[in-house]
Amino acid sequence: MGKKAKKDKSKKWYLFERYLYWNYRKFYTFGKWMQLRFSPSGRMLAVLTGITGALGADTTSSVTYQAFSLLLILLGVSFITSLSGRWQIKATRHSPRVASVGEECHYTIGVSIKTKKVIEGVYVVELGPDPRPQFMEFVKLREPLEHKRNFVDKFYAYYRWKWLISINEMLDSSVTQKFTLFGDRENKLIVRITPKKRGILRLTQLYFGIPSSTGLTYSIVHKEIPGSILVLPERFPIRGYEFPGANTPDTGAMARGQMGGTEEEFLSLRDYRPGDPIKQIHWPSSAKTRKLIVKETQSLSRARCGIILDVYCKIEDALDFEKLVSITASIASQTENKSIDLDFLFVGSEAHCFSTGPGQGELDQLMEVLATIQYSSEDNWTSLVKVVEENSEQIQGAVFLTMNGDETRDEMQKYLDLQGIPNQVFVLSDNKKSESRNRVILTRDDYTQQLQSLK
Amino acid sequence: MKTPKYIAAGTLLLWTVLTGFWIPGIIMILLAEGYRWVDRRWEFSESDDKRFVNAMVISTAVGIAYSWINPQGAFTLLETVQLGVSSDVLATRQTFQAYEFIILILPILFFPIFWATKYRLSPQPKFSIFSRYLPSKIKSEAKWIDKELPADGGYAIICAASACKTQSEALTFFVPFSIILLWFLFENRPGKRNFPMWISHSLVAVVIAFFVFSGLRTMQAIFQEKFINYIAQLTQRDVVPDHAKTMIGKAGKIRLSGKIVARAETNIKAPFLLQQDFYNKFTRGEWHMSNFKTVTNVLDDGDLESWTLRLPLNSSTNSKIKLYHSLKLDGGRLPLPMGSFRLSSLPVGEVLTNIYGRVTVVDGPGLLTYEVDHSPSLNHLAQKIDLSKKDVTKHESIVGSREIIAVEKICSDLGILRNTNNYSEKRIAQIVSDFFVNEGFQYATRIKQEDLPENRSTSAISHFLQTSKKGHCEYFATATTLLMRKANVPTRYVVGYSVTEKKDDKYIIRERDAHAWCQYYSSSQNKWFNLDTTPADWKEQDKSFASRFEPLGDFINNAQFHASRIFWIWVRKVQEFDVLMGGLLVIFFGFLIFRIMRHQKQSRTKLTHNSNYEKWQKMGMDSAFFTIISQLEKMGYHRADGETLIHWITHRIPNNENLLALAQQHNQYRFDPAGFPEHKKQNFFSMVDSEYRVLASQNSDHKNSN
Repeated sequence: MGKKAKKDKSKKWYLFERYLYWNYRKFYTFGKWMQLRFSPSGRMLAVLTGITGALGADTTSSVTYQAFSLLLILLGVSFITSLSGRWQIKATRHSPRVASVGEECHYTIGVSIKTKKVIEGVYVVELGPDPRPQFMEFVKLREPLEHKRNFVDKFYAYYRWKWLISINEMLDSSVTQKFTLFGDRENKLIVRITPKKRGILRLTQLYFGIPSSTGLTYSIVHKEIPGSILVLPERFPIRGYEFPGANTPDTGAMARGQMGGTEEEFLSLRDYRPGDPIKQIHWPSSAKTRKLIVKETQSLSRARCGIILDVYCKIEDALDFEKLVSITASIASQTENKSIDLDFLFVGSEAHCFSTGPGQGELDQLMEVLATIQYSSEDNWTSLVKVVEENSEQIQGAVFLTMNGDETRDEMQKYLDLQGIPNQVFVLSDNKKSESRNRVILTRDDYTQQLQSLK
Repeated sequence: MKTPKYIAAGTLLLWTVLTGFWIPGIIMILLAEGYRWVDRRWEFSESDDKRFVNAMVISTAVGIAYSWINPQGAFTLLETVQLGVSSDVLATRQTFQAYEFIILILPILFFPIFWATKYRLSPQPKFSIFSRYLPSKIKSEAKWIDKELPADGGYAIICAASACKTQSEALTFFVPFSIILLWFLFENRPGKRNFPMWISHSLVAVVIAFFVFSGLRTMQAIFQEKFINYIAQLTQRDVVPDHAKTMIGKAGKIRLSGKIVARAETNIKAPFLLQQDFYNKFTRGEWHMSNFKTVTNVLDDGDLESWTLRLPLNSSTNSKIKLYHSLKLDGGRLPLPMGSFRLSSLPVGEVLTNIYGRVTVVDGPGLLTYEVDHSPSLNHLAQKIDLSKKDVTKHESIVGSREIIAVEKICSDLGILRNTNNYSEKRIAQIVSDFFVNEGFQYATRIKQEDLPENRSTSAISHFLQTSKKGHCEYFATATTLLMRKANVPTRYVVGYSVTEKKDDKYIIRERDAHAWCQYYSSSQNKWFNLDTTPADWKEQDKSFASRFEPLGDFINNAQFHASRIFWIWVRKVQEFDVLMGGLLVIFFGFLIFRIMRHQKQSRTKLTHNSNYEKWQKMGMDSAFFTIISQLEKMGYHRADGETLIHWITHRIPNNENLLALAQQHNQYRFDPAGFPEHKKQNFFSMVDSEYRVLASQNSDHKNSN
């Protein structure tokens, strides 16, 4: 009992934080409601109504109260008329399987509306997962550079709330697209979305806003249509990057592949182009089609390289981890159309080794792994070293990516050097002191530029 | 959101009509919409836009400071802007608060920025032009900062906001405002098919709004009657010419602000009293002045600055007091020491006095600096009134029925009832003063409900005298007046200031120094004497209730008073200040525009239909070769994006020798028309024409063969 009582005493109630959190949640909900319910002109009029209401309290000193009355009643009438319409809408979504962070993705939504009219200015909005943070996230997490904020900002933690919303938000769900719906047919609407965060974007709620007669408010029709899009991490171009060890042929590659074969693997047939070697001409097909056909082949003298990702990350560096995943994806993308197979090694809750190559996974599948990979707040360094040791015999080159440029992590490079594996280490850090020939320090702000200049 | 055409001009017109600023209004409307017909344009860079913003901010700051220091001057300035055209705005007001003044002239202040958005060649300015005046957080984090400034919509809102501050008849604002708002909504309506619904709903809203705002006004009147007056009574004392509402009988706290009303330079030692208003009738917590409308004009001594209230006595006790007095705060009533007989250095239109001696000035500057000659020997108050008992009215002897029992009892106990003992007035005054001291009366600014009589019919003064013995100066002054009257001594209730605070050889008189006391008439000496029975430590007690921030408030008030004083000293030197102010603003804006147009290397280009700019734009675009290009495209020769003309013709088009030669000539004509003489042009055009015919015939042959 005594212990329990002690425990209770030590428990923090976070009363003020709870009050702030409750307020921010409610304001966020209110903001979303305003965004869905009111058109931009309606929102402007609502703000002006508030201002004129505050300034026009004294009806004897100015005519502001007249403006207030008109604005309020216009909004009121518009709101009531928007409530009165009961629209029957049927909708189907044809969303793509994958999309990429920061790249616009478009798909169609089939909409049938039960009316004889033509309705203009209808918006369609996909609401992604709720980005509002959990209470303990709000209390425990700190915005980067929050310590530099002034006392008031730290006290009210509003910027922290905004930051948490921005990192949780997978989709920008602001109303931008307007459509015209015809009542007598199925309308195919092309919806454009831009995912903001990698991972599985679960689309459950589809909102239709049908404008009221005055155009100030919308009638909302809410449809629950489950769907999901796998959002791949953001990738940056790295021109002319040579993967370490990629020039060393891997004699064991074919042995691991299930297909077997000679030095070259048949890919496809195509029309002859001037400059194609004569030995590439596929004579049987040429005879059949009466024009020259060339067979395309792929070299099977492939290199196998490893990408080792250190997923250990403190919770406050979560945004930097996203950058590290983007860098990993960008480097992995460079192996596309090259004779390089990859072993992707990382340790989350358990050790993982994902391989690409003939008869194994594709690069797209590796991207899907990267889309869902999470950081680990526990440092499983020894497990990672073990996985690398187990796979070191198979790889001719390796890239190691980490956010922790400490001495322990330096051992990885030493180990790879000892094994004679060409390697390159990428450290996402602002400390550029430890940069060397095979050790690239990518700074948090300029890493995209630095990646472009990689060789 | 679409901004309808002419909406800015429409709201500007509404502002012009309501404010009556016709001349600037019409000029601004013409300038705002004239860009549609005038072709002159300028290249404004971002730094020019920022200069316009700086000018606007500086003008606003100057306007606020000016109207804060000199509200009357700001009012006069607006009258000047109106150029004699009357309007509701100025007709219904005597003065403006600083913020009201600024709101009224907002369209003028923002106009240069708006104007620059209309007459420009360069891209429209962004919100970032205001960045200097925004906190760094907003600059770095707000997304809207890089958005384009909504010039028309924003300016329309500014004009509408300014028009809202006017006080016009019901429909003068409402109808045009409704039209403008519906105009905006019409342009932004969701579809063009549902116009009947749109118009019906909008009109219903307008009609309902009309009834709502009419109702709002009535509601406010009811609300004010029920609550506001009550709240106002709790917080302040209202001094009006004919009567003074007091806080007698009301629970609450009296604590006036530290705003400086006046400063005094004198040899008189503190504390001393400056009297301002006199009252002689007391009914239900209010003091009234009988016959208050009878006023006498005091004649000036010929210089419009010296005013003799009465003929002075040659006395050694004569002394001077120099007062710096904010006229606005006291509604023109001067606080004067007892026995004042001459006012000098007082540049006002009129000086009025009444039979009690209250002195009021009319048409003066915001801050008066004047000297008062006074003599304690002249302690009767009225000017040119016979020093007899005539100026003692019957009202100075009346005690109300609600207080009479308590007052009679106390007077009887003190042995002064109807002065049966034939005491001198001075002796009676002493007895009454001693009564308050001996009976342990206490000074209190906060009167709680339990300090008031439970029975509402009981007089608060009777309760004060017999039970609570706790009150502020109004209680003491009123009770003393009534006790003195019951002792057959004519007595008046006086309101003014008690001067105690001294700083740098000058006395400071604040609002919170407002005080009430009484004056009794001595028939033997034919003079009036002050009698203040409020406990001497009342100021100390007042201080104990002061807010922690009072020193800060006092500091700000000091600053305001000093600024006002410096300003008015300067004003007196420059008689035509308002004209100067307007002139300075014109010069300021003129200089700004001059700098932008001449010295900042603006590329200023005149745009006319035959202007060089247009010529430059159109040069080469009339090349006949474009017909060949379109013909080739019709014939199926696809030109890739970004592919040069020469490359296209060389690589994609067979038998291209003629076309290539023409294309080279076309390029020369297109990009160097100046080096393409007229005869060469005609030759080129005819060659193009014949080649076009060949191509067209080839095309038709090809179609026929298919």
